[in-house]
Amino acid sequence: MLALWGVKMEIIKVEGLKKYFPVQKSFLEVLFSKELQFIKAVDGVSFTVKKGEMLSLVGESGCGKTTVGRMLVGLEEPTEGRIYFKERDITSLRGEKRREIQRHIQIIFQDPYASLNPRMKIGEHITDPLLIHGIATNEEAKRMAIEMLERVGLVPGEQFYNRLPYQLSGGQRQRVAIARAMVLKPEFVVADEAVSMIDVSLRAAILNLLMSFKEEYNLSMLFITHDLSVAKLVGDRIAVMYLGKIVELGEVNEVIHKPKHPYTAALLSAVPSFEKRDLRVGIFGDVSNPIDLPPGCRYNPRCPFAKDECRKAEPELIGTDRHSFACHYPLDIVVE
Amino acid sequence: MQVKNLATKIFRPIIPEAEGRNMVIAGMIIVAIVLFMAIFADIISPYDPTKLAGKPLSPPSAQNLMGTDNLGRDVFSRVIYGSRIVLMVVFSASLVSMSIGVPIGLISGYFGGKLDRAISMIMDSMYAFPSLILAIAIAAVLGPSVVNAVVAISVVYVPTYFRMTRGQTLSLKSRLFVEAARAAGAGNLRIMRRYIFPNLVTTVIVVFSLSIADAILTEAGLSFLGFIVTAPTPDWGFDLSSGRPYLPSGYWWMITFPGAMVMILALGFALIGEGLSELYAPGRER
Amino acid sequence: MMSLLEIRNLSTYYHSRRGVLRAVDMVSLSLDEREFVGIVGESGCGKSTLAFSIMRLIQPPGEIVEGEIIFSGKNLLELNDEEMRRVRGKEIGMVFQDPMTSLDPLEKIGDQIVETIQMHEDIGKKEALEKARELLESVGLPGNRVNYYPHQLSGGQRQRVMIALAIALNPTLLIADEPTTALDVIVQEKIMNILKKMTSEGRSIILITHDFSLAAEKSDRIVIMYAGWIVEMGDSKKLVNDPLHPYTKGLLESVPDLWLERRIKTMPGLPPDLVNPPPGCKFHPRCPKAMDVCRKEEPPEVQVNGRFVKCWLYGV
Repeated sequence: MLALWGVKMEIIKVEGLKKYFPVQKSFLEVLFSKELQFIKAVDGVSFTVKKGEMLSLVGESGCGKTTVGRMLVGLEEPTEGRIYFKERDITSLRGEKRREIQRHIQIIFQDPYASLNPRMKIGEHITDPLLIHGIATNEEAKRMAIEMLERVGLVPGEQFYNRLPYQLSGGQRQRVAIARAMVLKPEFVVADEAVSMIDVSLRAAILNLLMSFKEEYNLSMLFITHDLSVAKLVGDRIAVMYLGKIVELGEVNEVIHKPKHPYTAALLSAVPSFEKRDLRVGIFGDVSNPIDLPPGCRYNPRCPFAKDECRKAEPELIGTDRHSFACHYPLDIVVE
Repeated sequence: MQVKNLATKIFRPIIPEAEGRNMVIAGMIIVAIVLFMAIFADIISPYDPTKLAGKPLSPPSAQNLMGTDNLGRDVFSRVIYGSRIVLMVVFSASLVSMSIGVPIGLISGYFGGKLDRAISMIMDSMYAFPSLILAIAIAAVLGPSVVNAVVAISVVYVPTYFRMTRGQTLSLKSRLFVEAARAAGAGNLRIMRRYIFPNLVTTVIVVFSLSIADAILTEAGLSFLGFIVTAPTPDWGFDLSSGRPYLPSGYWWMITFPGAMVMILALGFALIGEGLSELYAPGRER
Repeated sequence: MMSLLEIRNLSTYYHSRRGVLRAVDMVSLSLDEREFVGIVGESGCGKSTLAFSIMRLIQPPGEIVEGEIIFSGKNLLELNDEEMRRVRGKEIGMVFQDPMTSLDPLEKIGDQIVETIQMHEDIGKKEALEKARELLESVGLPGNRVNYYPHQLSGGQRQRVMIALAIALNPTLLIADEPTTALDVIVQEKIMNILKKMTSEGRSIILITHDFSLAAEKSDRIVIMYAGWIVEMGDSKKLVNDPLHPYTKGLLESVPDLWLERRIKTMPGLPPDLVNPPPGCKFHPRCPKAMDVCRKEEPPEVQVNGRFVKCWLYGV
C-alpha cells in the first residue's frame, strides 16, 4: 500500500549501531592497568536505505565504514544498536533464522584475490549459495551459475565454470564475486570497496556492471568507499563517516554541492578532479586517534572552525531526510 | 599406490620449481624401488629368508650379495622380505594416525574454546615425548606383536597430524573466502567440508610423507628392541639387533645393509615430503 | 635551454620464461628544470620500469637494452657503478610507494636521515642532525620526530619522511612512484602540495601514478603510457580538454570524477600481453577508431599543435 502512495519501502534501517573492539594489551599492560580500553570503531550510526536506493558510505581508513558493512551481513556482532531488514529486527538473529535473511543480504568484498576459495571451481562458488538456500538442485544450480557467469561478462560460461581462481585475473575474480552475490537475487547488497583493488582502466566496467544489476533487480545497496568520486557516481545518497560516526548524510548532490560539515568540505577540497572547484577548506594534522577520543565533537582537534562549544558537547545528527549533519557551526557554502 | 597417484595429479605444474620437483622425483624413485621389493619379494628374492642359504657369517659374495647372517641365512633376501613388515607397519600406522589426527585437528581448531584448549594440552604433552620413547612405552604395555606396533606408532604420530591440521585450520578459518562463504549462509559443516578441508590437503600430504619418514625410524627402533617381530621373521630393525653382537669381531654386513635400508627408505619419504612442501609453498596458491 | 633530463629511445626488457617482455619500448622524453611531469598509465604500462631505468635500478631478469638517458649533460647509462651511486640521492632522488619497507624499523628517523647525508657529504653528526630536523619541517613534520621510530608514525607521516630522505642531498630531480596511492585523500593533497612547492624551489618532479585526475591537477605536463609506449604527451590542461589519442580519450571517459557530471564509459578489452603484443599498434584491439593500417604497422610519432601523439589518426 505504501508503494501505491509512491513512498518507497525501507529495506534496511540501522539505529544507534555500535561496535567496540577491546584493545590488545601487552603482558605488562595487563598486569599494571585494570581498565579495558576500547577502539570505538562504530560509535552510534543510524541510517536507512530504501528500495532501489544506493547509499554511498564514505570516509577515510579507520572511520568504521567497513565494520558497518560487516555488521549488516552478520560477520560482526554489534556491541549495541539495532538492524532492521524490511521492518523486521534482525540484530540478534542466529542460525537458521539468520540464514533465511542471509539470502536477501549479500556482500562483495574488496580483495578479489582473497575472497575466492583457491580449491573450489569458479562455478561452484556460484552454485554453493543456491544449494545452501535450497533454491535449486544440482543440475538447475549449474545451469543458473553458467547463466550468471555470462551475465557478468565471463563468456563462455561453461569454460569459466570449471576454472580455478588462480586462472583468473583480478577483474575477472571480482566479477565472480559479484555473480556470487547476485545469483540469490538479494534485496540488499553491501559492496565494500569493490573496485579499490581493481586496475583503474577496468573499474568503469565493474561499476557499470554493479549499476546494471541495481537497475535490473531494483536493488538497494550500500557502497562503501574512500573514493568520493566513485561515491558520487554511484550513490543516490551519501553518508560521510568520521571516527565511527556519521557526520553528514543526505542526497548526493546536496551534500557534494552544499557541504555543511567542515570534514566533508575538507574531503571535497582534497579530491583530485579534472575540473577542480574553488573550494579550499583545510584540516589540521594527518590522522585521528580512535582510542583517545577528545571531549566534545570528535572532529574538533582537526577542525579549523572549532569553537568553545565544539570542545564541550558532541553534536547530534540533525536535519531532514534530504540533508542532515552533526555540527554546531555548520558551513554555509555552495559549490557550483 | 594412492600416494603416487596423488603426486602425479599434483604434477600439473604451474610453475615447476626445479628443486622441489627433483626432490620429489628422487624420493619417489627410492620409494618405488622399495615398494617393488616388497611386492615382488617372492620373485626377486634369491633365497628363502628363513632357511639356510650358505655358510654362516660369510661376507658378501656372488652367491650371497649381502653375505649371510649368524644362522647362514641370506642377508639380501632378509632385506628384501624385511621391507614388507616395515612398509606395512609404517603405512597402516600413518593412515590410522592421519584418520584420527586430522579430523580432530580440524574440528578442534575450527570451533576453538575450552574443548580445543583441553585437546591441545593433551596433544602437546604427547608431542613433547620423543617418538621412540613413547612408542616403547605403549608397545611395552601392549606386548610385542606387529599389530601392537602399528597401534603404538599410530598413537605416537596423532599429535603431529593434529597440530598441523589445527594450525592450518586456525589460519584458514579467518581467511576472507571463508567469511564470504559464511556471509552467503554456509553453515559450519559446509565450511569445514568444502572451504577448509580442501585447503588442508596439501599440508596433510606433506605431513604424511614426512611423518612416514619419521615412523620408519621409530619402527626400526621398536623392532630393534624386539617389540615387533620374533625370529625368524625378517625385519630390518630386528636384524640390526641380531647382528650387533658380531660387529666387534668384524662381521659388518649383517647390520650395515639393513641399517642402510632404513636410512634410504626414510630419506626417500623425506625427499618427497620436503620436495612437495617446496612445490606448494610459493607457486601453488596465488 | 638545455633540458635537465633527456631520454632517447630507451628500451628496457624483462626476460621471462615465456619470452621477452618489452616493459619500456623505445621511449623518448625530455624534462626541463622546475617542470612537474606526470606519467600516467594502468598497471603494466611500463611507468615504474621507466622510473627504475632512469635510476638504473633495473635488476636481472630486467635489462636496459638500448637508449640514452642524458641527465645534466651526462649519459647515465655510461657511468660506472660508483659514479651512478653518487648520482642517486645527490642529483636524483626517488620516493617509492610503500614507505614501510623502505625505512629501517629498528633505527630512529633522525639517524636514518643522518646516515643518508653522511654517505654523500662530509659533515659531522650534530650538523647532519640539525639538517635532518630542517628537512622534516620542510615536509610538514615537527622537528622532534627525529627521535621517533618508523612504527610510531602514521602512513602519511612515514611518506613525508621518505620525501625528506629523498631531498636530503638536494637533488635537482625527484622521482615519485605512486607516492600517495596507499594514503587517504587528505594526506595525499598535503603531500602533493609539498611536491608542488618543490618546483618553485628549483626542483623538477616526475610523478608516476595511475590516478589520471591527480596527475592532471598537479602536473605541468602529462605523459600517457600504454604497453611500454608513450602514446600521448603534452600540456596537462590542453591534453585533458582535448585528448588526441583514443586511449587517452577512453581513459578520461572511464574515470569517475567528483565534479564532472557524466556517466562513465567502460574501456573495452584488457591490457595487452607484453610478451606477445598485438601487431602494429598495441592498442588497436581496444581502439574504437582502429583502421586497417593500425593492425599492421607501428604508428608514427607525430607532433600536433605542440602535443606528441603516437597514432595513425594523425600520421602522415
